[in-house]
Amino acid sequence: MTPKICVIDDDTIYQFTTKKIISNAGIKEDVLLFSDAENALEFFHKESQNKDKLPDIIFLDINMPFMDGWQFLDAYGKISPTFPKPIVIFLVSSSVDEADTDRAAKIPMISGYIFKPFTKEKLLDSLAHLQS
Amino acid sequence: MDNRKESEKNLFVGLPDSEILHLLTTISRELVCLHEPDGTYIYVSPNSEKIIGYKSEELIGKNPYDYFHPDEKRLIQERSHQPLLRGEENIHSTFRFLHKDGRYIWLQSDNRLTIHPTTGKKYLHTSSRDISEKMDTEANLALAERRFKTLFHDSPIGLVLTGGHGYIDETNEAFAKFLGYQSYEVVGKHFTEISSVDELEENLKFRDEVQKGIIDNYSIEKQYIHKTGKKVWAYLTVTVLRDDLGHPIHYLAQIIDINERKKNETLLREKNDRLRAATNSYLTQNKQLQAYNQIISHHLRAPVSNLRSLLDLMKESDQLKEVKEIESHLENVAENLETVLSELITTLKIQNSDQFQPEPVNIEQSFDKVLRLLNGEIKSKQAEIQYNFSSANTVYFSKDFLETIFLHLLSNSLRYADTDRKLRISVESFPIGAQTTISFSDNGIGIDLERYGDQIFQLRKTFHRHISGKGLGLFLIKYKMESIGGKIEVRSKPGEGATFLMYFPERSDSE
Repeated sequence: MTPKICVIDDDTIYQFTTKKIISNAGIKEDVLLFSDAENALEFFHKESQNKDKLPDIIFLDINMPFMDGWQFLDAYGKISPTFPKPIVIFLVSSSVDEADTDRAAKIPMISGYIFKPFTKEKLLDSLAHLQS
Repeated sequence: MDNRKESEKNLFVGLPDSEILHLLTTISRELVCLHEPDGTYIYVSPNSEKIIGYKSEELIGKNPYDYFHPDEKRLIQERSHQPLLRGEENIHSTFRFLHKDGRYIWLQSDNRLTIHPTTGKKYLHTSSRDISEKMDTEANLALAERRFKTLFHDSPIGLVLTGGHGYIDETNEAFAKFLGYQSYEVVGKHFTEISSVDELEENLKFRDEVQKGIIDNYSIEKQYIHKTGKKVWAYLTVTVLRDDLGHPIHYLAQIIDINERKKNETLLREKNDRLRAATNSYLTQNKQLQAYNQIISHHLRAPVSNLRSLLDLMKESDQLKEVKEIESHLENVAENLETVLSELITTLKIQNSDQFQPEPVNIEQSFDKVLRLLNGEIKSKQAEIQYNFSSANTVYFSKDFLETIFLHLLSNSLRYADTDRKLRISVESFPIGAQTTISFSDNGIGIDLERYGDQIFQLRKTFHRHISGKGLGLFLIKYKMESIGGKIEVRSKPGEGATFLMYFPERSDSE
């Protein structure tokens, strides 16, 4: 099965490189891309019961304007328990600030914290979580 | 005298005169004596034992000069005895007399020269009473007075005696010296003339309570005015002396010089304040460094990691078209890096407080300058701008910083205007305590503070879609305010507008 990947990040260059990395890794499925966490949230509301549309894994940026990663997680956590399938979430950030990593460690729905740059290895490591 | 025997019989009580005399003198306090012209006792009234301790017969034939106090023998001789013999009428004398028990007692005498009606012989007649008790009291009073004077004048504590109306009747050396005057220069002044007005109200309030009889004394710390004009601190305690009706007659003021102590206290307080300011500034710097860490993490590492990803992709790519695309992205990243770096440098400049010398800045002049800069935009948006800086026209700040702040806030207001209504901006300054506060309000679209409250002053945060903003302005304003120990607050509701309140600290004396 090809995993369905969702990327939430406002940085267009990151979007570009991540898409490339995913396709270079041989994943054919289209990437769900959101520049704005609020738009992403709207999508999850709308498709909350649609198993085919929902992704298997989310790569979520922390630092975004309007709604940041933390605010997204707050709202997302309220609707995710009704989803018809489990979704793995990875935080992706350029921040090496311990305040961010510590905060992430306290949130159970986060499976991991990825430091940018995002690479093929990091992608494959995180996809390994889907099998377990 | 022929019929002497006859006349000796008293007609009323049937006793001889001598016996009546005896009766009278026994109960009398007066010692009555008759002396030869040289002083020798020839009669001593029977009450003598009670008064001077000797029985009358012990003294007959003796001379009182043997009993006078050595200090007064000559005085009695010259002032009393001789004038009497010369015929002076009635002489009073006060002298010490040796009591039989060995102590001297004070006697006061009325002395006369008596001439025997028949023989014409001269006698001295003395009538004396013991006034030791009275003399003691007087001596004690005099002593008390002397003691008081000594205490008053030689006291190292400043002492001032003022009358009921507040004029100085007497002062001692210590107080005069404390104020740089001679004692006589202080006497006659009203106490308010030498008091500093700072604590005068409190002083007069206490005096009033004393006058009304509510209190009898009070203590305050107050400043006097030294002859040179400078103020000197003293600890004053005032005690009141009242007459029988309870009205104050005199005030006795004790003044202790506490000028050195006060100076040290002030110095200590100033040092404390400076220390606290330093601590605050370190705390602020610490917070700013943390913010810095965040900025570097998010805003500098992000383009760098993009750079790395793009370069990796470039190496993998074998299509020219793809390489071209990556190259254009690389250019964007380079630009982005330049921007972030210049932003960091801007904030670093603010942090470098050596370059920042606070000076009095005229608020209106700075605001006017910014209005002129944005004149075109203001006109095109038809914004109505009201401002009033009359109740606080200066802040201690940097002129450049103040202009930058006004520029940012005004640009924000113009950018986030509500298109449904005429944009109104109102700017005011006013004092809060020793601080100057500037409020900057608009009726624009406002900010959802419940949602963005904790992010509003962070770098690169924008809160409105479809309106471009770099999110640098408020971040920098906060930095600028905090770097001088001030602060900025925001009050806003979406759809109603926003108000920014900036608190500028007072000018510190240490600068």
